[in-house]
Amino acid sequence: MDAHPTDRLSEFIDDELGAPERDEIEAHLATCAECARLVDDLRAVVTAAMSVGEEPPTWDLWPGIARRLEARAPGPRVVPIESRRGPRRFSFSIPQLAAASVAVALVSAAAVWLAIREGGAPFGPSSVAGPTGSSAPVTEVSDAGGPAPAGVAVYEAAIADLERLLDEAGIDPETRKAIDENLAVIDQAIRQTRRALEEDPDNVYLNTHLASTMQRKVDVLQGAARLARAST
Amino acid sequence: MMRKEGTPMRTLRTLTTGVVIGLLWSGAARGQTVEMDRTVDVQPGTRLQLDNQFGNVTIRTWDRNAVRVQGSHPVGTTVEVDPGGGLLQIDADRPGNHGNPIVYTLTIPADMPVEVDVVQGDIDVAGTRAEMNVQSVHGSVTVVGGTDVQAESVQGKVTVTGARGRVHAGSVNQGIDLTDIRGDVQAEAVNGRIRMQGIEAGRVTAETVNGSVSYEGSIRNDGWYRFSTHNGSIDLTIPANAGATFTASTFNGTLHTAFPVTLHEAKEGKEFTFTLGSGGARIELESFNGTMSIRRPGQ
Repeated sequence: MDAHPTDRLSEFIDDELGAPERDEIEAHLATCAECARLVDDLRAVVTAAMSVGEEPPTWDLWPGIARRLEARAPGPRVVPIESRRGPRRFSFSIPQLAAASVAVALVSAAAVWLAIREGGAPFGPSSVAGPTGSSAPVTEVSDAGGPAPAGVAVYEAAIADLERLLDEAGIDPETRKAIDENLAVIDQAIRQTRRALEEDPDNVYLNTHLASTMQRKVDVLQGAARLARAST
Repeated sequence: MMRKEGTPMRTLRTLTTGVVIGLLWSGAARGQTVEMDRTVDVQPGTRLQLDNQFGNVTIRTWDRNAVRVQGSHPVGTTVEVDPGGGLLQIDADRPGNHGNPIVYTLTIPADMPVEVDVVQGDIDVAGTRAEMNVQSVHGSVTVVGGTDVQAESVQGKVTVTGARGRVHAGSVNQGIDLTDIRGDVQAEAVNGRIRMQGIEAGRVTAETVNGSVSYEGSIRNDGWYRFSTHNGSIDLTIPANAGATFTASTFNGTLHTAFPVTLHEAKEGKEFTFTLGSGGARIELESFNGTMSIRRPGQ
């Protein structure tokens, strides 16, 4: 198999392929580190999404974000996790990996608010999953066509909320300046990657790079918000 | 309205208290400091927790089950050293400020786990064999030794040398230097380079957005190594007999390798895969804009 089996990885992860197709993909994964990493990433996304919030959260940020998103972004509907019932199936095409990863990023973003209430070390190691019981947004990417606008919109809304939170937190000016400068560095990287994706939308590297760079921005804001709390 | 007159003695006490407070306040305002030097015994296994808003923290070790607290603080500030419950907490009742920092020099048991948080100041820890979690907002973090080390700064450089176990190093706005590490490594920066030398690890992740990444160290057959930057080069120096499967991705960059390998270009000029030796280890290189180089030692 020469081409990356990106359109079948979702079924592969869900164990929904027949034996020949499964064997074929496993053989490909054994020789393609890129696809093997994608499978790992997708499994992490699915695990993170499935591990959060079956119980109603005690403090829910998500409905407000979802309302704004639905008013703002046409296309795939955003579904809060608590509304889902029964066994979940998460399907992703590779151009949608960014959206899936961003959904995980938002789990971290939701954790920011919890961290601000509960404390925690700023700028700790990145987590891929939020705390149990947190409100976990999930973008409905399985029925979407084309590249993942909902996931990106969710990300942008969460970033805006985090930035507003920082403004309200009153972090000291010198630190805020440094954080803003670094956010600008990340924004530039995101812009460059998006432009590159316009040229090559199916590029696996560019899609994962965009997702990880977005995640980095969430991580920085998350650390800054925790820092603001620790300093007050 | 009736006005109650104080007694002469009460008036004197009030005046005296006011004068003392005034002297303390003016002393603090002028930057006058008080030297401190006290030693408290601790039980084996006791953890150290130190919070400091303004001022440097230096920690060294000795072979006694005791902690010596030296340094200086502004007049009027009380530094509390509170041992108990397996935790030695050191904190001040006032935070200090730019002109009047609280400076700590501690000597602790080498096996004492350390947790230090500083807002404005450098952290320098050496000689410990224990777990460390040290963070500064505006200051450098330097660690020599330690097992399972987490060292982070927002605006300062982070340097870790000779640590064992898991190492997580993070700096938002400066570089990271990791040397002589035996254990898994995670290094994250945004606007700074990451330099790793003498690494013996089965799992290494080094990611920055704006800066170079360099790695010199061993490659384990069952290891996983990931190096990523957006703007910057990646330099990998690995043993001549390393066995690994490489994936290298870029958008505007290039790949150079000193090893005689056949590159498979999954995407012409942008995505490469190739295998060295047994191909056991998994190595991923990603630079959006930079050059990726794979070298042998000495090249």
